Amino acid sequence: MEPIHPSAETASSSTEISDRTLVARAQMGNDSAFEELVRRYQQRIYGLCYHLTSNHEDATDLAQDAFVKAWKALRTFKGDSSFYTWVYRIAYNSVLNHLKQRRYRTPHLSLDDLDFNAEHTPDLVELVSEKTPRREAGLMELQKRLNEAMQKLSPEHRAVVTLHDIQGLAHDEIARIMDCNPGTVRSRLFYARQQLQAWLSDITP
Amino acid sequence: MESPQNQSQPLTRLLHLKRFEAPPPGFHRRFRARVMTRIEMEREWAELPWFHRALTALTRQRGLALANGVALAGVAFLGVATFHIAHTVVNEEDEFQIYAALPLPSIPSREPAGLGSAEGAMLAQVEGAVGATHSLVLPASTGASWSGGRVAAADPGAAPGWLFDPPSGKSRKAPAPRFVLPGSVRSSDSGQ
Repeated sequence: MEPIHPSAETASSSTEISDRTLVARAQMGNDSAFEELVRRYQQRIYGLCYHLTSNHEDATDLAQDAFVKAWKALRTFKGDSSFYTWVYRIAYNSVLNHLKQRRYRTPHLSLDDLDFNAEHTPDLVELVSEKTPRREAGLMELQKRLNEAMQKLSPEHRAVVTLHDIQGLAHDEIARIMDCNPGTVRSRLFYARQQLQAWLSDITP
Repeated sequence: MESPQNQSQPLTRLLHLKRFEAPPPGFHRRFRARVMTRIEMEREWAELPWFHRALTALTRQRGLALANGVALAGVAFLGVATFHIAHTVVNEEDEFQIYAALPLPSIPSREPAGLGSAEGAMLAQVEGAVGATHSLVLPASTGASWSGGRVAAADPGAAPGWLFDPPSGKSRKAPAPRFVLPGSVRSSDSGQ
């Protein structure tokens, strides 16, 4: 999978128009149009669900649920926001409900494999200890530690970190998705980073 | 104050690691197909008649089906039990009326050796003030005697007492029950 870069996250105006057209066709019962919308945003929606749950199977189910709910509610979509913000919001609420239900269960990590390119990213190479016999094993250990630390955050703080630091969305966009104001997003982001830094102090000096 | 971005630079770099977490190859192609299959199923589901949907919803999961079965059995049991209790009460009332209307069994009456005699059984039929008929059998050993419509014990200390007290006129509020003891003779039979 290609890593999602912040520059690629913001939908261009042409895509926006095209999304509207596709949404209009899907609202008239065109399944192919909806399938195209799924193709465009499945990676981001799956990513959101995955980074919030740290579980591949749960993320798959939740992302599917989000698209099916979007299809069911497509007639009520007025186009006040972009389609992907709307789907993001549906997915975010589905994940929140799921996390509330499993509140009293220990989260079970089911992590995706790291992409081949991760080994060659300079930032990550620096983070991996030189004493580690194999770089890949070091990265996997980092991945596990990071996901465990993420799961210690509250769902709201985890969502802010995921949407901003991993998926690269702007504060305003995140505020629309999470139905709060941008100031709240910033304060949550600040607090979440502090927490993560404290928990991962040995690997992020 | 240092900006949060500068403060958490190493952390931000570490978080970049999560961008490289990828599902297995071909996942997104299969994912799209599964979403469309589910949408097709949802459409077919919406077209089903309501009773079919209700039945399917009740039996979709084994545990849910079992719970529904137990609940249904409980409701059926309660219904049968309630009906049985109501039916039994009606039958008891009917049974009482049926037995009350039945003729008495023909038991050969024992002829008293003679009223006023100290020996033998004494049959006393007491016509109460309310007109109820009571048949009493007094044991011969008590030495009770019948005179003028009253029964007097020869020896109060030896009398075992009445088998029941005849109803008085004052206390009568409801029709007095008619008691017939085995071995008694009805007034019509005794000719009194």
